[in-house]
Amino acid sequence: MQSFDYTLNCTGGLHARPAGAIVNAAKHFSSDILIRKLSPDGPKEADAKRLISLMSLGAKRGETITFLINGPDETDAAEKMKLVCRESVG
Amino acid sequence: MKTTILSPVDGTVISLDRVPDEAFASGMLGDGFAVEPENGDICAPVAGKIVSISESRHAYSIAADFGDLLVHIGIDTIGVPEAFLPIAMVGDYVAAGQPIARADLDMIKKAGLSPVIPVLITDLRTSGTIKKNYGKARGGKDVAMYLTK
Repeated sequence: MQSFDYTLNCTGGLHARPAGAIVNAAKHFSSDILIRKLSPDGPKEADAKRLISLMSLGAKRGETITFLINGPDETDAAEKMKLVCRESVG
Repeated sequence: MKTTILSPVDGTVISLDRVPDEAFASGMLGDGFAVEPENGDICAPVAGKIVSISESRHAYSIAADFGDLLVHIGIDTIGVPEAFLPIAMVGDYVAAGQPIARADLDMIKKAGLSPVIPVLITDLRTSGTIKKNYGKARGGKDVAMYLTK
């Protein structure tokens, strides 16, 4: 299992475009990639390979999301996800 | 078997590559079509569950039998939430053609933004061929895209 936190700095939070960048990268890996967000109602989890699942997190700018990656290519997947966060999500 | 996806609004159905935003035009977010709207009465293109409505109220995600659909009202409209009034709520099950939102097209245009509405299949859970009907369409009535197996 690989995990890391990322704090969103993109205007409007995790909307279609940044979420799409994550989905397109996540689809190339066989590992399960979950994104968790803590909320007052408890943690919410989304499948990073499904756009509307990610959008339903309602993650806003300034909020921290946690990537949880589990599977045979989890190390590579974690590196790629970090790169996508820095370069395409913001 | 044929699955039909309606135009969400009265207007002209166009191909995605005519949308003035690379994320939609490139197909990166999914295959689909776009509509140049004639008014702001937005309907559900398919039956399904409303899974999310963006905080800025311009993007509606619907989980349907065949996969997931995203209705994105306007381009870069994330900054004009006052132009949108959701009618459906997250968790609602909607019928195809049921109103889900109203959009103020004049407000979007005055903000210098395009009101074009991409409708995308963001996740297809069945195999099939996607075909589109470009041209004039009535919102919630005419088929803009269909899947055949």
